[in-house]
Amino acid sequence: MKKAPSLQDLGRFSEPALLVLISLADAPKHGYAMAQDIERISGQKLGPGTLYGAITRLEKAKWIEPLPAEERRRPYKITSSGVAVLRARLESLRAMTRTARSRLADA
Amino acid sequence: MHSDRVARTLLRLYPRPWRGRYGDEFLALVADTGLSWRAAADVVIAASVERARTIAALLDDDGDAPTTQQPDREAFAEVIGFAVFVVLLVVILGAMGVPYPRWLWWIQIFGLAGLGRLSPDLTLGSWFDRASARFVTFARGVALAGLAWLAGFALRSVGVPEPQPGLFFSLVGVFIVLAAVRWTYLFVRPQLNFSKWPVMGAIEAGLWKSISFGILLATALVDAYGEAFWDVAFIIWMFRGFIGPVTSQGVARRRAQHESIFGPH
Repeated sequence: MKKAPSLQDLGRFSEPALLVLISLADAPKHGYAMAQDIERISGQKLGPGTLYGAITRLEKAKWIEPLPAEERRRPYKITSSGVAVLRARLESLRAMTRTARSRLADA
Repeated sequence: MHSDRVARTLLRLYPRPWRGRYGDEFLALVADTGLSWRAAADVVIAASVERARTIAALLDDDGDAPTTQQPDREAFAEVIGFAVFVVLLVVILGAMGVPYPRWLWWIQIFGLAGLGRLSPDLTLGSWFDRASARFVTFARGVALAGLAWLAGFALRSVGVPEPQPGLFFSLVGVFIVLAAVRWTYLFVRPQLNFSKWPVMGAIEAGLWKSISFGILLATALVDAYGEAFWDVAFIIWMFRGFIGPVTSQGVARRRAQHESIFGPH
């Protein structure tokens, strides 16, 4: 059976892609708004190459979709399959965090 | 840094289809954020990744690369450009005393120069992608020969005797006859069935690859530093090039790509 696509399939762009999906979870945003939002929520400043590398892959996977451009800035919104992928990733992170916490408690 | 000018220059590092799709918004982002040295380095790395993906798609011939209608003048300039590159390479290698490439390799090189023009099914990216694909294909052929040469050198150094000339030429002759018969049958049979997609099993394809590399190895033993080695290396390299497209995966890729361009067959 074919494995369902996940964020980890995006290689070096998997973490930036996760941040982009989180950023778009509440409302559509263009590149600059995403970069600012990601810096605010994660403390990470994504370079333009990394940000657009992630956007390229997310769009190809149909996890985000472009909206009409406003001047030169094009907003993106998360799709329903993007929401599902984000939920799945957050769930796996939650399980991992739970395990890590219990191990630290035992240490 | 002069952000806008530098950003436009950096943008050119990306493949042309990528620039067409994301270029404007990318420049808008850089205009908003400014461009530090760190950001510029980030762009260089990301652009290299995009380039590598496009080149990999071209080499795999998997239909992932975007199609462009290439103007004749541009295509002609590419062929001439690659030919000039090869001539320079040969002059430099000659000056260094390296007897390369032999005449058969010249055919290969100019065959590569025409890559894309001769194969309308190929989906091609920008001229840089095509040039890179040619260079990588060329380097692959040389690497295969180099590998066999090194393996032959290693075998000689541990005392493996070189094959008797009679045995060696018989081996090569049998290989050529068998390959000719098999390939003729492979391509004639689908024609009789009104199909253009001959398929070879994975085991058989692996067997042909192994045998052909074995012959190359034997040549490296027989003719350690010589011209015959490069000639046989060229023949084997060309032969291996025929195998990939007729495996079931190769046929599926070619068929999907053909249908994406010309419609269902």
